[in-house]
Amino acid sequence: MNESFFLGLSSGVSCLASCGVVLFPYIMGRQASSRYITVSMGSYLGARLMVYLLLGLLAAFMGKAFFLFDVFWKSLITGGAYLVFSFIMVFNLLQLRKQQHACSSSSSPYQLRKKYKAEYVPFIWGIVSSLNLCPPLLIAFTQTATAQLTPLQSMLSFFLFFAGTAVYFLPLPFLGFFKKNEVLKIIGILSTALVTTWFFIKGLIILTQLLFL
Amino acid sequence: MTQTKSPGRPYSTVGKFWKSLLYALPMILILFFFASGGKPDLSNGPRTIALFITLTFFSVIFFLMLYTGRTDRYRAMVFVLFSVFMSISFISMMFEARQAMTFNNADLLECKIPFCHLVIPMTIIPAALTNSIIFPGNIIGGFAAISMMVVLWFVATLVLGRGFCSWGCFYGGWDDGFSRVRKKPVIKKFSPMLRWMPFAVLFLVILSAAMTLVPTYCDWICPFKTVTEFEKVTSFETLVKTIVFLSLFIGLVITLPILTRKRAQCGLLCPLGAVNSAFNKVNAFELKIDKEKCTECMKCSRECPVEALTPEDLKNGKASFLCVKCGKCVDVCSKQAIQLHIKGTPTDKRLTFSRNLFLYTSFLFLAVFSSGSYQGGIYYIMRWLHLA
Ligand code: SF4
Ligand code: SF4
Repeated sequence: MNESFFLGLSSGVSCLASCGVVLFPYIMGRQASSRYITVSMGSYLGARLMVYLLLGLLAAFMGKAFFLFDVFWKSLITGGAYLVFSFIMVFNLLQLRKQQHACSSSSSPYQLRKKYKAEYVPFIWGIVSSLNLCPPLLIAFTQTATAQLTPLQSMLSFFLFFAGTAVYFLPLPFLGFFKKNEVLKIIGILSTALVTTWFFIKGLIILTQLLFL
Repeated sequence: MTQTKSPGRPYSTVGKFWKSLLYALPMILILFFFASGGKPDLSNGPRTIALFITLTFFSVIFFLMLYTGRTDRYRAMVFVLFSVFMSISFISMMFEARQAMTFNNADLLECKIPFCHLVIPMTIIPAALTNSIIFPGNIIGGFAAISMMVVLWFVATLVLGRGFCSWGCFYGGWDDGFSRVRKKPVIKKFSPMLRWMPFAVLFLVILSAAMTLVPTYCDWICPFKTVTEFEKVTSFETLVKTIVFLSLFIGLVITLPILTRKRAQCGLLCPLGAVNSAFNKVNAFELKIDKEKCTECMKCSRECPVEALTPEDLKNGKASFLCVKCGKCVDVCSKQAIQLHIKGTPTDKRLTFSRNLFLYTSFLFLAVFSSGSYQGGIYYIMRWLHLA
């Protein structure tokens, strides 16, 4: 569980740099009142929390099925998943470095605005960006699904992951807007890269231990 | 002595033997007091020889800094040997106490692990949360006690800023030394974003230590365990930890510094380096660039061991806050466009005073911190050679 919070905290800066960087100009660009900003942020984070809790539930059910496998297959799947997601994460980070944002390539709050009412956009963007299934989220999913948790524990684990990422989003609207905080983005990318390395090593350890089973 | 005045070095002591000696004399006396405690114990022959060699070496080096006007060349000699002697004396002491470089669970439980400054950033949040230090060492008393190490680091960093990384740290000499092995770098270009890596490492180790109440950097990453002490390999996990820190030592402390001529470990990994950089902001000394003299040849930038002089920094007229105050850029600039400067004083005036004030402060820290390691290292080498 602690690990989920840690994963959320450590990848939160790059979440902020990828998803947040797209949302904030949208919210702030409308010269909104602080009430509007609070409500928009609240609905954005609320949508994310909702998706994460559902994913937590899904992870618990998948975890149940997962535990029907024997130790060899369990280790192979877990270790393999960590390795694969680490590679995807590296790819994602490279994309993030090149582009302004990599959170969702297919839509942005501005595109959503064409289809939906302005006040719904932060909420919908919250759902869209959470369902983007970024690698930290996939790793959190693997972690939770392989830990044999009850549905409640699994949702709690996802809640902690959410809480870890959310701490970076909360104070921003009130601190004044950072439009191009390149350094923050770089540190976010680098810390996510380091966490990726950690999960890569973890995957390798699990797979290496298979040799001794 | 023949006059070897370095062309254009703008300090009043350069090339002047007696003046340099006069300026060096107070330092020599202070060093004698610190190294010997005022009352040298001459009864132990080998220890007396070690003390004598140490004091003579420090005095000659300080004199040469004043006489030649060069800083980095002589600083590096003392700094690199500091790291080597520190490892020699530390490992020898470990062998005397435990007959091995490794420690085991019993040593951990008895809090017998000497504290080192790299742990400091990890201890702050857990100390605030739990009122305890998450390191298995002595708080007060004994060798490398936590309180003493924290105070020494804090005072040195407050006074020197990240200059601590060139004048105070007993690890920095390793990659500083290896970065001088080749005359020309094999790898010349870095991604500028890598300059921020230590901040990412700092961020993660603070987080992970706060969450697990374990000094994660020491436990998993610190490459300098290779030259001090490390956990005995008793499980698969300890084996992986050993592979990780050994690879980092070989990669970041030896190979990359040789290939790039940069201090790769300090510039890419060390979380304390990131904290020390922040202290550069509140510190009195800085490296200032005279834009009128600067021809933007970028020689200083290429030579800077921590990428603290980007073209943007040159335009801003000063080294960035990553600067370790090694003085290399000052030594290599043929136009004397870069100088050590005391914040708030006029540029291009009282250069000798600014430099001497910095040298007195920084060299004193270096000598006081390293004197014990020098004497210990020399003493143990004499013992290996059966001279003691
Ligand atoms: S960066 Fe770290 S290891 Fe390097 S000199 Fe500074 S404190 Fe020491
Ligand atoms: S700017 Fe100059 S003094 Fe500072 S680290 Fe670079 S070479 Fe050393």
